[in-house]
Amino acid sequence: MLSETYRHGKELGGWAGAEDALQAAGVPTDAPA
Amino acid sequence: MSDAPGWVGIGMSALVFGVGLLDKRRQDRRSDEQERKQDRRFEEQEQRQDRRFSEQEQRQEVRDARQAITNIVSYWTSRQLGTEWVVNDMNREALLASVKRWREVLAADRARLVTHGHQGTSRAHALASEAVDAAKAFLQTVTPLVDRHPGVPGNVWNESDRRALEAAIKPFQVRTNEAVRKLVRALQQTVLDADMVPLVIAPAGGKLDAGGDPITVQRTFATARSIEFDALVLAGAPGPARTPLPPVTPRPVIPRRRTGPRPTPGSG
Repeated sequence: MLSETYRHGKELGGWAGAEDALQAAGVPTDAPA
Repeated sequence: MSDAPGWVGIGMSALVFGVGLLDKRRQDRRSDEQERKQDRRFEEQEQRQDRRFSEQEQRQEVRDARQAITNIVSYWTSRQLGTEWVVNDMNREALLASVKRWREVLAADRARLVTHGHQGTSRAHALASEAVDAAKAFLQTVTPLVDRHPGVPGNVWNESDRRALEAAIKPFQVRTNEAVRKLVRALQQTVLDADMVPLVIAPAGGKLDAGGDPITVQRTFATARSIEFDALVLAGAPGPARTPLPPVTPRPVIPRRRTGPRPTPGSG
């Protein structure tokens, strides 16, 4: 769902541990907002 | 009439004295105005500086609160202290050292948050305090047990000590898990306050117990779809879905249409 959300151009936020989940979903953490 | 020049002299000197007085008064007024202007300038400068300091202080507070939350949640999830199988970790000394280290980090974070003076309202401070207290209670019970069995793996411990350790782990996990879930509750409330509808997604359905105030899971990983949301906030790194997710069907490659001028009828 994360990669789906990213592909749909939705806002993604998070705190601790979010980087790991985003990386696992193939979402770059430095992608433009 | 012989006194006339004398009177003229007196009149002239009185005039000069009057003009001198007027000039002095004008100078005094000017210097007063200058002083007032300078005072105003100083006041404005001080106000600007105060504003800048308070903005910096607020920014620092937010940074410290974010750091505290990050330390709590990331350590809690990465070391798997909140999981059921932590009791199966036979290296009790390593477990104890891990909780000790965690408590030290959180205590430092809490101390930093206290200096900002908003500890009564800060959610991060409440979370850190709860986690530190839970870890303290755990360490008080477990340290003498571990000291009684130096270098001995947990499965060789006697039954009563094993049970005592298991009994100490449970409240530690419950208290900290609840404190972390209170963050989810706070996030949910913030979204509601902003006139938006929050949907809580979790690996499995049911309720998350947030300190006696359960949060209903509205979508699971299997049932949530991105089209329902405008934004997504990852509150930590939850575990994998309990139910297997449906396989993702790869999209078929759609061949691109030939570009170029459309053939006119009869051209070939």
